[in-house]
This record gives sequence, C-alpha cells and structure tokens, in this order.
Amino acid sequence: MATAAAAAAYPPPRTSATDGLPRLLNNKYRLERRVGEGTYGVVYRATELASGQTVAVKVRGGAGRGGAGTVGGEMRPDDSEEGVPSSALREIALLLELRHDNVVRLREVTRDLSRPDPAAAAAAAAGGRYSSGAGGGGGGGGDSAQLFLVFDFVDMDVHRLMQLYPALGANAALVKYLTYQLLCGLDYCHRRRVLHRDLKPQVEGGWGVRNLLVDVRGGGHSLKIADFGLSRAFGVPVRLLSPEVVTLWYRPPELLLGGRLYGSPVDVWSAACCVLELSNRWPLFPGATEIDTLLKIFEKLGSPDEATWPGLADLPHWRPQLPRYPGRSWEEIAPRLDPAGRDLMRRMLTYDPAQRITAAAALRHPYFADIGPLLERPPQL
Amino acid sequence: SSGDLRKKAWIDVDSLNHDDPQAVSHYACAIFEYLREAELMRRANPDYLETQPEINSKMRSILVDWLVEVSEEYRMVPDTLYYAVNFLDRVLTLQRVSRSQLQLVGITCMWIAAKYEEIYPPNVSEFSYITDNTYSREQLVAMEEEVLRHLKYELTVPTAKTFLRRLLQVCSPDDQLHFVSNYLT
Repeated sequence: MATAAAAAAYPPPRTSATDGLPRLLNNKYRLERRVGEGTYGVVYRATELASGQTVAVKVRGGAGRGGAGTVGGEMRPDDSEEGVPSSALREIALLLELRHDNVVRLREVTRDLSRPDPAAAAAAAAGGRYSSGAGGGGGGGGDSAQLFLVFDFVDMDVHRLMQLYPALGANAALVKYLTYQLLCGLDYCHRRRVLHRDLKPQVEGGWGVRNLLVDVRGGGHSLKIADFGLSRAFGVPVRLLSPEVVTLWYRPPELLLGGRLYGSPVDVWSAACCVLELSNRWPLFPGATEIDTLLKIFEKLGSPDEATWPGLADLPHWRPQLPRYPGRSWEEIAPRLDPAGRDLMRRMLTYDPAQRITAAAALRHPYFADIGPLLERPPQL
Repeated sequence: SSGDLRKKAWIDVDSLNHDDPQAVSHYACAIFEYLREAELMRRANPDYLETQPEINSKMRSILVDWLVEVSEEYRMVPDTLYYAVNFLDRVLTLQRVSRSQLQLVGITCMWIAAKYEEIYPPNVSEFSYITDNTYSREQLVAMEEEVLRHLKYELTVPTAKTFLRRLLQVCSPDDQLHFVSNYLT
C-alpha cells in the first residue's frame, strides 16, 4: 500500500531515468536510457562494462510493465504471480536457438542478482511482495520476476530509416538488398521450425519495440529480424495455433478469416507487406478493424473465390456476400518495383497459403538474379 | 538390386502434401535434419539416477504417471507432457533433488512446459491446487527460477512426440496404430 501511494505522489520518470531499475545490472552492464517500449517489455540502451560494447537490454516480465498481452492471446497478463510469462519463455527459448546474420543476437538472459536469494524470497513471500502491481519494482533489490535479455545493440530500424530517408523506396538496389536479407532471416527461422508471427516495420506511436532492425555500422545496411515475443516453434504437421497473432495490417487473409491451422506462409505474407510499405512509403493494408483490413486486401488484390483459393468456404469468417472487387494492377500496387519484383510480391501475396511462395523459393526468384554484386558491395543511401 | 528396390519403395510424402500448408512440406526435410542434431545437444544423462541418492526409478515412474494424469485433467496437448518429462530429466541430471522436492520439480516442469506450449495454459494456482496445495504458488515461482537456470532457458527441444508425429504422418496409419504408438512413446 505504501509503495502505491508513493508511486501516485511521484510521476514515473519516463524521460531520462531507468524507471527504478538498477543503473548497474549485476556489475556487468550500465543501463543508460530507454530506447523503446512494446507490448512485452521495455528496452534500454546499455554498455557492457568489460568490453565497452553497446548492448540492448530488454526487461521482460515482472510488475505490470510487460503489458496485458492482448495482441498475443496466448498468454495471461504479465503478472509476476504467474512467474515468467509464456511469451518471454518462448522468445528466450527460440532466440537461444537462432544464430544467423539476419536475426538479432541474444547474448545473455539474466536476473538481477543483487536481489535476495530466491529460496529465501519464497520463504518470505507470505507478504505482498509477489502481488505488487507497481511499475518498475521499487527498492529492495529489484523485482523477482524480472528477466533481462541482453542483445547486440542495433541503433537503426526500417521504420526510422524510412522516416529519415523519404526517398528510400526509390532506391531499388537498397530495397532489393533489404528484401533479400529479410527473406534470408525468415527462411532460416522456418528451417528451424520457428514462426515469427509478428513481422512489421511499424512501431505503435513511434515508440515501440522494433521488429526489423538495420545495422548501419560500417556503411552497410544489415537487416536483423527482432522481437520474437509472439513466436513459437511448430511441429510437422502443424497443429492448432492461436488465431490472435500478427499485427492487423500485416495479418494474412487466412487468419483474418478465422483459420486456426496455419504455418510458415503467414510470415511470408507479412514480409511482403513490409517490403511494399518500404517501397511505397505507405502501409499496404492499413485497416482499422479485421474486416476493414480484409476489405482493403480484397480491394487491392481482387476478392478471392473457391477457384483461386480451394477451401476458402470452410474458413469460419468467410461469407459469400462479402463485397467482390476486381482488384488493381500490380503496376498500381507496386509502382516502384520492376516487373520481377512485382511478380515476387504477387507470389508472396497469394491468397491460398498452400500456393503462396515459401521464403526459400522466394530467395531463388528472378528478382534476386542480380543479388550477387549487391551482397559483395552493399548499396548505399 | 537392393538399391533399385529401395528407390522404388521410397515415396516422397512431402511432395504429396504440397497443397497442404499444415504439412509445411517444403521445410520438413531441413527441419528434421536439424532436429536430429538438436536432439543430441540437450539430452538428459540416461544414468542420472545413479547420482541421485534419494530418488530411484520407481519414484520417477510414479511421478511421470502422475504428470500424465495432470495433463489429462487439464486437457493439455501431448507435447506439453513430453516437454515436461524432458525438462524433469534434464534438471535431475544436473541437480540433486530430495524426495520431498521431487513432486515440486515435476509440477514446475509441467507448468513451464504448459506456458511454453499451450495456447491457454492453466494458471499457477491450478498447478498448486493439483498437488493438494502441498506446494504454494510462491514455491512454484521460486522453483521455476531454479529449473530455468538449470535448463539455461533452453526449452525448444525435440521430444519423442516431435519425431512420432512426423513418422505417423509419413506412414499414414489407421487409428489403432496411431494410439498404440502414442501410448508406447
């Protein structure tokens, strides 16, 4: 009770401070400033003291701050009583398995070791310690449920790059180079039977956890897929999964129509939405609701039917009386891409997930026939 | 020759499944190549019981039987159970556990497995309740931290179920073979 009153009296120091977290984490990292905040945690820029390297520290779980996880659907609210949230367990366990140039590197997972021994804490847990809802976990050596994920620091992302360089979409070589890397990272994840389920360049309110990072050090533009908070490993064959995944604008039609059986094609759809947003400098299907997003898709790509998408009629939310649109030309949908690029987008945005091109096949598409020289000499802005 | 015979006997099940996205046919081979390697990296020591002074194979099997019941009670998917047993054996490989703590380790592994695998996992109170409240929620939360430390958060492991699902896909069994093989693993 006393802590809640104190929190009300002093507004949270959102701008400069580290929100009551120790500035020094385990005598190993110095937290410097908050650089992002998403559904699943807050990200700080920090320095690893021993090496002087800049790292990103993501705080997961713990008191309140993790958010209620309405996007996830597969978890209950981040509640320290529930221990480590399931989205955090998955994000960590999956990232530990992924080692690829186009996937952000998780260096370490740690707790705040300065807090009391967990066994002793459990013994003393009769009090309100575990039920405190105050953000940032006040004194007493930190919050027991908080996890710190230490990543390589990457200071640019696709969204910011687009804001800083309005002409980015016109740079055909750079768009192709970024697209290729995105598909390389995605292909790698799918080979490791990991679905990302939340690819997007957008960040809510410009202050979110960024999913598509771009490392601009050394003059290159090395793309890294990040934020695996909604990811999970799938089996072969894939079993029933949660329908409440993927941010609305990037959500594929099989999910919008209520399909519960889906697989790696969902990420391919989202990836195409990202590429076209990069190229057009405008989101492809910015719907306000699920049905609005669906109609925006139909309006651009033409309404699907049983002939183009066998099994369509079995999807729970499909209604034959949905408006029928003829669709637009690909010159109109992707004005800045060359014909090969448009063809690749058409294949990635195929309605029927079974016919949608895989990330592996996309990498062999003629659009990338001239990728060799670009990989050797990365294009510049 | 036998080489010819083998070629003929080989049906490419994945090419038959290209129209089914759930079969992830294009990735199946690459995935299983990797899983067979991954299986070797995070395995329990089959002889760990020799290092556990207070636990014998009888106790482990009673615990596992009980975990099977828990998974049925809460209608969890089979994968959750296989994960739980994998976690349990790996923890017992690394850490001496007293007889009185064995069930706590077991139920905590189940809780972690459920959070990792289930769409709607039961909450911690339900896991505490199913032990007849022998262990409190706080004890589960504290044990979770210890278990995760031993597992180094490496929860993405292939289990027998992972391979069985694939084998059953390939040999398209009738229901009886399906149930018998699931029972045996």
